[in-house]
Amino acid sequence: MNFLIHPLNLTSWQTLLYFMLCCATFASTSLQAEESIPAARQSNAPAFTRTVVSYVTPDVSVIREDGKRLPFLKELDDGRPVIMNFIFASCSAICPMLSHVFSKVQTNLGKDSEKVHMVSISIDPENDTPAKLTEYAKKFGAGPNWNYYTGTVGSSIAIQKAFSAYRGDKMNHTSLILVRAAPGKPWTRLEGFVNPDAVVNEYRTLSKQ
Amino acid sequence: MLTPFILRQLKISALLMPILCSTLFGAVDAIAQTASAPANLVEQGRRIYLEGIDGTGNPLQGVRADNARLVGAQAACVNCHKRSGMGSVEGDILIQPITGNYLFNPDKFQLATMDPRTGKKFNLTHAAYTEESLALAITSGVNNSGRKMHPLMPNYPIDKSDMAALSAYLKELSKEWSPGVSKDNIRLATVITPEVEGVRRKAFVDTLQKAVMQKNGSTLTSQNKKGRRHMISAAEMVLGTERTWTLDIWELQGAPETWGAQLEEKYKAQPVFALLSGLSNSTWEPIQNFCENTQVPCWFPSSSLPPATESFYSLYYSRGVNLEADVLAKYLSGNKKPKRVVQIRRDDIIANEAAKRLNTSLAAVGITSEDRVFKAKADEPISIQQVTNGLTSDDVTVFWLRRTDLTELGKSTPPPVKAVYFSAEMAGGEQGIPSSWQSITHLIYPYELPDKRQSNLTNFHAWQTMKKLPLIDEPLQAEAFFAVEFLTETLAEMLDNIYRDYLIERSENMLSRNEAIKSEQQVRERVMWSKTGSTAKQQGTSIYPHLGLGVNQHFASKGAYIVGFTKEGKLMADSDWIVP
Ligand code: HEC
Repeated sequence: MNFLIHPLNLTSWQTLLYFMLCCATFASTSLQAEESIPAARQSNAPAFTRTVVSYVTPDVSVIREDGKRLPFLKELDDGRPVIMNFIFASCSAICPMLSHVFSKVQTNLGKDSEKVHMVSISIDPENDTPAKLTEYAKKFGAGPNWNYYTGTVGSSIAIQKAFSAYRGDKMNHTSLILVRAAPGKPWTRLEGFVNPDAVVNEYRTLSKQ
Repeated sequence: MLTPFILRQLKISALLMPILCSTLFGAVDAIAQTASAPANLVEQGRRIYLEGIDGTGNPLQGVRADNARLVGAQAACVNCHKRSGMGSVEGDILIQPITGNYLFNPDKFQLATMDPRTGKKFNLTHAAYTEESLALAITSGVNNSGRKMHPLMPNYPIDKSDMAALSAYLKELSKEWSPGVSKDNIRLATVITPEVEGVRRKAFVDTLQKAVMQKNGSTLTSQNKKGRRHMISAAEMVLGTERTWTLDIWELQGAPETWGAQLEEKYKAQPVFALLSGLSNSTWEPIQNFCENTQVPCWFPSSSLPPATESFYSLYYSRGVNLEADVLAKYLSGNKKPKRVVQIRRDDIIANEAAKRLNTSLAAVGITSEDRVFKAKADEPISIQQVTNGLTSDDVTVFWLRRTDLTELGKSTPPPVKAVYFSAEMAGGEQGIPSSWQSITHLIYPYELPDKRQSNLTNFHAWQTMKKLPLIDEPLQAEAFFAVEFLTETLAEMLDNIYRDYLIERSENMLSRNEAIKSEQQVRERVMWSKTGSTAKQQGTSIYPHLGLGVNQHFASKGAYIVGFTKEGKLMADSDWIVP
């Protein structure tokens, strides 16, 4: 209802003109959206992309799923290798898939899962209270080395921005997994439909370097 | 006047041209004419779709491209394609509508906005599905254009009977417009409960009716050829799916126990598509129950006491006084824990619930609390002397009172306590706080702070001034106005798919994004048309700092500030935004 601002007052003939203009200019185009599907969605294209990037961990405070308020820097840079993703509890299509992948990664890491810190950052922090995240973690069988983090809207956005994961709104989020061997090392960025094996392989390769 | 704005709209219509032509010259009837399948088959399909239980009563099994197995509720179609079957957008993944209309009758030009605001994305066109091609899509993930679909869509190795059941269910799903909807009109009602003060009732009804009139005035229909376009969506304009609204006022009477029956009776006499806004100083539970049972959306009522259990059809601004109680408990549990909290209230349902909640939350953080209740009957004035016995400067008092009672309090001096807290939710903001009490007074404040709020509400205030609507209760009137605006925008993006479930799903998906985009747009337009008014940064269009919804997330604002007064009587924040 933007009546205040649009001094537009299309009478019916203006509307007709508008229609005709559309017709005349574009009548030959047809809506073939099927053909304009981005390559990444075609089955023969790689399901995900891999890049190596350096990021500066933001100095914000976060709240872990156990309710503890902690400096994010310390949590992330405690020396352990990190595998990180971004989720929110009320997301019903992509996030279960992402969390499923994480869960598989945890299993497939085997003994190594005790050395790795798995980090899930909520991008809907006001809704994702520690209690909600604990429940969510349980649903995906998160072990002691897989933590969930929430905080203020500001701290969540700061973290998303620091890792080029900010898309303006939780509903715009895309599938992203970040892997890093140790503090100070660059991050590997896996974007798209990432399978658990690819994540584990990435970790193994990085930790050998 | 081809401003960049309009040019952008034209570009969008380019994509819509074929639709336009087919709509102009073809049939507009959106209702599929298919013979109905037996009820038990549809029921079998419903269980697969919504619950993930197959025809033999076992959990549905789905296999994703990475071989991950989805079982039972996790595999249910509803997770992705939604209750309405209209699909959704998550990130850059389009989850297609799969109702019978969309699968089997694409020649009717079923069109759904899949990524509003970018103005580019709609559902993909395809040839009509057949039973065979649908089975192939569901079992092997190849759509009827022969394309291997996005790996998010699982493969379901289901048998013939389950396939027939699914197909039967999909054909029934969102088959026709919901009740209360016709080709060019949508019927709505607003509920007002009996105990609401006359002044607020009038301010509320006036605001709502004027906003709806304004909406109708800008809706272009065959009757209203001079409608001043609101230009929400070019697709809507080209498709001519705009509808005017009829607003009924449903005034309830008597005790809350009887409201359910009254609502059912009113609904039976005149079905409505949704309840728009609403006003109550009492419990909202009977209304939420009605909405859930009748499957009618309950769209952002101004209620201080929404039921704690969230439901699919009800959307709220916040948890009301329950939220306030939690915020205050969290605030008081900080560094300067008070020895004792004394809660003072009338014997009224909202105040009682608020006090109960605060008692529980205070107990959890180890603060003792005590309850005191005014003896005054509902229509008698309160007297502060009844409740101040033994209060000391170690005590913190919390008054759960409405604005009318605050005026009464102002006639006496404040009690000799450390601090006094009021509920902004119950008092309708800070306006009623007696100035003689301000030095020790704080408010639990679920709204945006005044400076930022004025900028967020610039359009509302300009409108309300233009309409000569006196500002009686800013939170209430701003909420009613927002409810109309957001419904206008959400319905516009739904095009011709006016289904109740879809309305809820879209608002879950769109609210926070819509707020961000709209704020930006309002600032830009204010500059562009150089209307008077600030060009200050704007973070939303409601009285709350930010709003957001999601699946099972139906309270849009989740926190509150604690505020106090400066010597000059200006509001100032004592705390950050607290989310309990
Ligand atoms: C985890 C998410 C998810 C679940 C669960 C899911 N789907 Fe899908 N579905 C998708 C996505 C994403 C697409 C679009 C794929 C594409 O176009 O590449 C899709 C596409 C489809 C299509 C093709 C639509 C078209 O326009 O061609 C059909 C049919 C379909 N799904 C049916 C179902 C049924 C039936 C179920 C339940 C038994 C189901 N889906 C469960 C995500 C899901």
